[in-house]
Amino acid sequence: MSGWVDGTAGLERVVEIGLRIAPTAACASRAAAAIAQELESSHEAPVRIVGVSHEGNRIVVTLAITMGTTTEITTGAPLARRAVGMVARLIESLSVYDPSFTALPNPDSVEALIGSRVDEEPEVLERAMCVLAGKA
Amino acid sequence: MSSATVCIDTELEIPESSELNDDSIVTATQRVGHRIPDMVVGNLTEREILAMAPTMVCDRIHWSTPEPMNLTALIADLPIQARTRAWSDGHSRIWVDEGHGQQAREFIRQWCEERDIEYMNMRVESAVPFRDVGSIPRDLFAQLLLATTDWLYPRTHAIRRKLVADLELIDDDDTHSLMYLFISDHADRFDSDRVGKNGTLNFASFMLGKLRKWPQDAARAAWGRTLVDDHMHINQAIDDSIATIHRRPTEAELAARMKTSVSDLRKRECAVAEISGMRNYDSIITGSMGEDSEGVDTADSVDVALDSTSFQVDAMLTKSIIDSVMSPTAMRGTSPADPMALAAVYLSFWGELSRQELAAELGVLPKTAAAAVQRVIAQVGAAGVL
Repeated sequence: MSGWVDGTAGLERVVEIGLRIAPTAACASRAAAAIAQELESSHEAPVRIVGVSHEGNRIVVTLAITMGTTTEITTGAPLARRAVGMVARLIESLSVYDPSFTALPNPDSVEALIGSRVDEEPEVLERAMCVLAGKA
Repeated sequence: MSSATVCIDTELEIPESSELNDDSIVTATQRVGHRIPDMVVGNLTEREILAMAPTMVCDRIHWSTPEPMNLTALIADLPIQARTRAWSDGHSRIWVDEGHGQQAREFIRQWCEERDIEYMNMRVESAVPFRDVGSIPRDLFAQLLLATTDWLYPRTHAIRRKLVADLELIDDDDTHSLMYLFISDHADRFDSDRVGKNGTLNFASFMLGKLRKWPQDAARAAWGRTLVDDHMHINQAIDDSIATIHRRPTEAELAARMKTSVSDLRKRECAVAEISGMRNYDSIITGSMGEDSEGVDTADSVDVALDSTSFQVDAMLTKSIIDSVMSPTAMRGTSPADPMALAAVYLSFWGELSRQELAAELGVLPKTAAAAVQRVIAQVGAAGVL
């Protein structure tokens, strides 16, 4: 949800938005490619993969998008506005995979551990999703 | 005179009294039902049998001990007249004349401490109805219990199914014996003098009322009150949502209805699921008790269609929120994006923040934070998504 970062005026809280991408198991590979492509082309705001899991017949990839510091958010700073724009673009471009806001997973959960590993090595996203889809 | 309802007619129009059959009644909820008959054992009616143990008004002292306790010795030492009766839950109960409950509790505490008997949660309930059913010949009382159980058993299918679904260690085959024990336990509470809309209550009617709470009480005993209450509230919220929006609620909607955050809701659901072994929280298990309910969802039977609908509804809500914060009107015409509104809505509904916490988190006044949330809710509502 939020964390502390170094800022010019000392420590300031930042807000992260959780976005859940939920492709069906059948299209896990295609969705992995689409998510990877979106992440590569998204430079307006920091974004990371914070969770990978499955729920029913869906594979759930949770992204955390940094909106900015609370000051940037409340003053409507350009950085925060660009972050909102990026969230909107992700929702639009990944709309076939039912993107929706979600709470960020508990850092100690299995989905967060998988997410953390995938975030460090984005090339394993497709493999992780396929394993969860039972296709690997 | 007997009363209470067992079969409910769903017709909305209530016929005139003269049009009702002999055994039909109009219930307190304005529905047509049927009278539950008095039990008859041999040549004796339940009234004649229960008259052998008339209703008294007593104070009840109730506590539990790690080991079974011999209450006969305790009663012999008590300076006031007392009665006891064993319940199947193994807890200790003593009834004394009304007004003597506190005095008896102090004596029992002292008596236990002198003998190094550990006791827990000793409490007094004042002015409760009590029948000393030990005054009824044992065989006759057992036959009355059996007749009542046999009459109620085939008519309480939903209650039995809920009990079996909620408690893993209970099988269908056990429920008749358990129901007998339940009725035996509660027999001392039967107050035949209570008068309702359709006259006085008979024994089976009283027990049917008690049985409706049976699975809930059993689950509380097995898992603890907090967990069961969470279970009930989640399912009640789902039932309420289905009644109003005609579909299963999304996580966000459910959290909003329960006045909590999505994170907290997930924690509660997770705790309930871990203990109960249930994957889905359907009204079938805990909510409505309709006789036409069918089956129980298991981990292996994921409802793909329902699952899909839930994801789509969440996505639709998200799209609507992002559209509203990207709307030119959202930022009073100055910008196409409103980060404050998005952060406020997100932290309110998916974070764990109350309005005050949200204001503190964002470093703004509570009314500013609330106004940001309201801007989005108003637009989402206008779009017809909520």
